[in-house]
Amino acid sequence: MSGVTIQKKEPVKAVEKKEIEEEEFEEFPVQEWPERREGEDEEVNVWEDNWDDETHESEFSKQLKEELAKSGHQIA
Amino acid sequence: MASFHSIDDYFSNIDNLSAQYNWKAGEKIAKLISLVDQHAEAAFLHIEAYGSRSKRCRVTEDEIIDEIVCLHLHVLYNVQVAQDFITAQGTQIQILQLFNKEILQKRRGENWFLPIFYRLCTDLRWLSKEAESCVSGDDEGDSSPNSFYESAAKVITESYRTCVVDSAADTGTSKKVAMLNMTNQLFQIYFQINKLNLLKPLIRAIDNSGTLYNEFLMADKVAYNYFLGRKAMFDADLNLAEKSLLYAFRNCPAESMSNKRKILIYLIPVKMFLGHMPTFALLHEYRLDEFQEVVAAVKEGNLAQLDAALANNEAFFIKSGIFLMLEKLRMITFRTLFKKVSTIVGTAQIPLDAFQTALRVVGVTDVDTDELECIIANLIASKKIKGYLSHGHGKLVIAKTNAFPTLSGISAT
Repeated sequence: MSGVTIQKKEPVKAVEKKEIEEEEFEEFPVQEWPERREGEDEEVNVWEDNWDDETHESEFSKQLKEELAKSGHQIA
Repeated sequence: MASFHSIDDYFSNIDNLSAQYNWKAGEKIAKLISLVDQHAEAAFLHIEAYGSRSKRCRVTEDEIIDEIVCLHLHVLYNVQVAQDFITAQGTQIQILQLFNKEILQKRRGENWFLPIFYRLCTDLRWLSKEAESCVSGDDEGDSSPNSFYESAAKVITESYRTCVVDSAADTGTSKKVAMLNMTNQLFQIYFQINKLNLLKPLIRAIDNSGTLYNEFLMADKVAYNYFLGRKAMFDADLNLAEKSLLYAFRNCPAESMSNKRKILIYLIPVKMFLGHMPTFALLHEYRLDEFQEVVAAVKEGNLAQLDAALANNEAFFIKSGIFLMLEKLRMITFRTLFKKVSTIVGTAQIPLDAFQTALRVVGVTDVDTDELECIIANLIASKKIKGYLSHGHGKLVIAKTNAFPTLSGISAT
């Protein structure tokens, strides 16, 4: 009886353990290194702030314009 | 760390190291009482109740270290041979209690043994998780849910209290430097059992730690900022979340790719909400392509695409705990869609019908005029649109200039 239960349980547990380990923040191999202050980032230009300017018209904007015109709205 | 040939070999290593009384030796002993080090696999170390055997070797002259190592062998036996995680967890708690009572409380003016304590806590968390999953498999467990996590948190909290009252003037040997590591240990447990409110006093203590903060290890500072940022995100304190997660991302070594990736999973939604979009290159580099479609949809103001992107990657976003946060991006997406409409229409008075048309284009059919006005009112209230609603005329009247300020500009003020 108990043998059956263990056999059933084991594979499930192996999967769970893997997922949990994946979730956890891993320990660092070393504990100390120089601190980088604000502006001393290694990776720069990874965040875009000017994604919003509409210098070029996207497909989606064109479609929007067509639909608005079709519905009788004023188009600039 | 070299592997050992025999139990004597293992003991004599610990014996040598425990006579050195320095941090480096502490780090080495930490490995030797760890459950994940190579020695944990050695069958000759899997010994049940070694400490109570009449004929046994002393590990070292230091009675407490001797007792701790014996208990550690008992834990190894229970993990590796008996697979009894409940006993293993209980024994690990015993080790921590002993460590607190006999080492943290009694040995004044020294702290070289703290790395050992950190390791014992980390392993205790793992054992608690395993013990928890043994019980949750049973139909009717006697113990209340999370009792293993609770008992782990209790012993770590007791030790924390010992360390914070250390009156040693020299920060170099003060046990107070353990504060941050222990806060991180508790952070991880409280995340698991959903009791983040218990961290409030611990966070305040770190905020008020003054010059002691400089003594904390970078590894602990990065981890702390990651946990703090995640908590701030759940508390909807986006500025603190951004600041903490950016610190963690900036200071996490490039070699720890998987940690940088974990930081980004939380940093990206926070940044997006504040109007800063991740570049496709960044997402690709960190294997976070699940975000690509979400980012594209938000930038475009395309709600149908956003909903599809969230649905397509739902499992990943829910597992990461950011699904609700990403859903809030709908608000920004509405704003961008309405901005596009205003550009196309080109007047300061925009009929609400025009917005309805735009919503139909992106597949949103369940928003009536009342709800639309509500969405717009919220955007005005959160300064994302400058203007007012003219309910009588069914129009949105927007400011002549800069009616849709850039999002990153709003959040900065």
